[in-house]
Amino acid sequence: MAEISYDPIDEQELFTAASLNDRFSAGGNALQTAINSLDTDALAPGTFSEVHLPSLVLFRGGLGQAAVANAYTFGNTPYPGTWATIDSNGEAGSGTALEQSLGATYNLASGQAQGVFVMADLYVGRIWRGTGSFTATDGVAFRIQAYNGSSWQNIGRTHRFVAAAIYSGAAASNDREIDVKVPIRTLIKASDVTGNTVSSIRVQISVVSAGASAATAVSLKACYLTALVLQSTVT
Amino acid sequence: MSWRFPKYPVKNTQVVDLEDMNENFYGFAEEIGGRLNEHNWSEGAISATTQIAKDAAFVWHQDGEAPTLNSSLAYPDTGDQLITARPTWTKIDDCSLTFTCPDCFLWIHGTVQLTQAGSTAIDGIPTAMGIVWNPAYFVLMQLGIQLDDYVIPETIVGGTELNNDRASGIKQPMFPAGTSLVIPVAAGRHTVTLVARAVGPTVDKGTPGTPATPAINEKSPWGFYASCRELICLEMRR
Repeated sequence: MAEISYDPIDEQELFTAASLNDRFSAGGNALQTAINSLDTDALAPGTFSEVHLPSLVLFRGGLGQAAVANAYTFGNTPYPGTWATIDSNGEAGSGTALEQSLGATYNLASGQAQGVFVMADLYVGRIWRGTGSFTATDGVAFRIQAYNGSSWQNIGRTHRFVAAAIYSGAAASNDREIDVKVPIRTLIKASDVTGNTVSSIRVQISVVSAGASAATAVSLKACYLTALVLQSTVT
Repeated sequence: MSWRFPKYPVKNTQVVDLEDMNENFYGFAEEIGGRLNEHNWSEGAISATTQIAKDAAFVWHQDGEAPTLNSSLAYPDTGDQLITARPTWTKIDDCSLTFTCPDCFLWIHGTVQLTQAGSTAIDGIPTAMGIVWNPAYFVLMQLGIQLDDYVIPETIVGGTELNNDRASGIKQPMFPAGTSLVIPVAAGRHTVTLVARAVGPTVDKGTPGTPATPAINEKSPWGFYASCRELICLEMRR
């Protein structure tokens, strides 16, 4: 911080506009120079409130799908090789994708925000097989991806799974109402995306069938996706 | 400093005295060093976020792990952590944050894929490399957030204190669990950790000697795995 000191006007000194300006708005020790270079110690705690500052919430947005109309099947989205972005019209597509634009491209290394906080809540309804019986690991997988401006990047730690929960090879079972909420929270950082940039996020789904049955299917009851970008650092 | 009026205001009919003028300005100069408050700044005084330090209001702390996924959900992945079948809270690896912060609120989120350990066969012995699940060996799972070595009861997923509440944990083969918390903390160093444990009976008595159930000494379950996981804490300084 520049030194804040008032140089008093001496008796022998001219008392003019110039002599006043020299103390307040001109010269290296002018008060104006010092005030323009305040450090944090010059301010009482809590000085700046929402009326003084621009919003530090750089972006917030989300979307929800009250009911995903159609199921996803192993035949079209077999785990682990094939994933589909969740669509309000299911695997038939042409509905609203569970994808949220951030409204701008954020550089998470050099920009004002170093992280994008993502919250996804996915409600799994039924898991069933059109023909045949379950294996224990029939189920569904989810993941979150981030778009860096040229490609979608997987966020590996967001993989989540729900199994059909049919035990002991229950041969008669081929349909189960699961009703499980899958909560995923992630903070996307510069190291998660090539080029450190991110402009959109989305949620993908894949269907698991241990017996590779194309008839294994999953329905979703509702899906929600929210993104929050704050002016922040990440440790 | 809020507002300060000059000690010796200059008036039209008055001869200006230099001592009085100096006295008028001393007070302002002295108070600029540390006493400026909200009254000394106009509305919208700072118009661009670039004029504000990035960590002025929000600081994220994050830890997590992304195990290498294999094609079979019943096998543990490289990087999965076995939580043994005991009622003691176990810290989940790579989900711990230690930081120093001012007086502030923390917004904490912990999410993790929990997966029961498998068995060698439908009715077989529990094993870490099982190929199927058997509910006889499933444990009741709980997940919670630990702040400075204290597990916050309100964050426990799957019931709270078993001895008091008789609440059970989660008994699902694969369960994506999540918990969150907003809590004020005092200035200083804090540690936030995601923890898990198994509660309730962890040994299935079964019927020894029958083909469908293994011997009693073979029936102790392994526990469960913590797979893909993440712990996030937002330090809200303002």
